[in-house]
Amino acid sequence: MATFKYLRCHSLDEAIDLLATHARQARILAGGTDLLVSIRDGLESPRYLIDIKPIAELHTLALEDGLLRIGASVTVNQLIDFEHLPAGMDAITEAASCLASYQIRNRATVGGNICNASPACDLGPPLLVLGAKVETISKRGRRTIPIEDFFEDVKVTRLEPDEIVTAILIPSPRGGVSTFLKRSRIKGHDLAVVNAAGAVTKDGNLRMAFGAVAPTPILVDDFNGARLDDTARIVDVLMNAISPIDDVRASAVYRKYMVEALAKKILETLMNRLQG
Amino acid sequence: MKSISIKINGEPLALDVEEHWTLLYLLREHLALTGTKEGCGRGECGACTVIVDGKPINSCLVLAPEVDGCEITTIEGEMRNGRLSPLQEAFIEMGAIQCGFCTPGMVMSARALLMRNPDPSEDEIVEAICGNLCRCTGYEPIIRAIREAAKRERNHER
Ligand SMILES: Cc1cc2nc3c(=O)[nH]c(=O)nc-3n(C[C@H](O)[C@H](O)[C@H](O)COP(=O)(O)OP(=O)(O)OC[C@H]3O[C@@H](n4cnc5c(N)ncnc54)[C@H](O)[C@@H]3O)c2cc1C
Ligand code: FES
Ligand code: FES
Repeated sequence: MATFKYLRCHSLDEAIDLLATHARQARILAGGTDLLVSIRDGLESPRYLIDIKPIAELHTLALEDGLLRIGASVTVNQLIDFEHLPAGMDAITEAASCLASYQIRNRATVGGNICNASPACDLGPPLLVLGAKVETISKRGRRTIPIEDFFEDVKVTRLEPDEIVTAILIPSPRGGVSTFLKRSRIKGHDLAVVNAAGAVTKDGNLRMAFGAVAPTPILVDDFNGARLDDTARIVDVLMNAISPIDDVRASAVYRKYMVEALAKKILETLMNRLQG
Repeated sequence: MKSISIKINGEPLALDVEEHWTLLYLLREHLALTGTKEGCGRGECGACTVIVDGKPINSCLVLAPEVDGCEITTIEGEMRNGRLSPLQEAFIEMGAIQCGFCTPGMVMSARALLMRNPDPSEDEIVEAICGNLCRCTGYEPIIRAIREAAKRERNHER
């Protein structure tokens, strides 16, 4: 492995100071399950790794006035085990449960998953359909970014180089329902060929999101007034929204078929859950 | 160099590590704990699985300085008073070991599972070892061995 300096931070102030000083030569280290692989492969060679795991504030996982606050350093397994998840957020747990292996999930963080911004990241689609917001901090202060504005391109986010994600905030679905599905080459333990989430509000507003079919996870929330059971019209809208490519995992054509197949299953589950 | 203090298989240890060493490298190359294996070095095979503060992790994706203050259990810590554990015995009896390369990581994942759930279902076992690849056994004997060991350990054979 390439050499670097490992810096352990115990407070957010310390972390944003270090990040401001070293800016483009530094990387935040959370669970390391993406970053250490990139460094090993020589895709990245930061001079400094800033370990934010000791910062207590980033481990909060709590409901605050109907808002779910997931600290950036909460691990995927901690999210799965969280007992107070509000009704209607099934998409989150369903996605978390099929992310990588048990061992990886003990390290992989929620913040790391979205900051790494892989087009196939499994937490992207559920956070998109649930209308999550990303809370950040830098020396210039705090801000929140709607998740649909957070992803910019393949592995690129709207974060400034000196900015740290502190938490992901999800509003309570208030009677709405959601679900997630993933298609990968082997069951579990592999990045998605296509992943997908859907959510409907109590009064029937549909949001769908897909991963690995465009440079970033994408949200589709305008179906020209199509009803939930009007699958053909919904699929039409989706086909215009996606731009899949051929890669090692699958061809673009296969991905299109999978978007249609997953969308149909998701719509069915959503309708069942609305009735249940 | 960074100075770290760890507890490894019950023994406290203070040592200096290079900041870019992985935990796997530290275990194998500096502590001579070569039971833990390196397969892929990138989180995919699970051969490097060890238990850190009660949780199974891929030691190839953890840096040595990150485990400062942690308690680490490797396959070398699985024996009790010079005897194989019920888990190790069951692996041998049930034919859950062929070439053996996956075994240390597999046993660590299984041990961590039994620590959090002494009576796992078959699905829970599959979930727990889903990050441990085995190219030889076809997994069935491994699953049987973990079930059998769980039963024996529940019956206080340990
Ligand atoms: C074998 C294997 C299988 C995998 N399978 C899946 C899968 O099925 N689905 C999936 O979605 N992913 C998968 N992954 C990818 C990875 O595990 C996840 O993306 C994970 O959530 C990343 O989190 P981390 O804490 O390990 O991130 P890190 O590797 O620590 O960080 C990732 C990136 O985000 C930045 N970062 C981290 N935290 C912050 C923060 N708070 N603020 C600003 N920047 C930050 C880092 O600087 C780095 O650039 C897999 C990885 C491996 C090795
Ligand atoms: S060597 Fe660590 S997972 Fe393969
Ligand atoms: S026994 Fe050979 S890889 Fe599992």
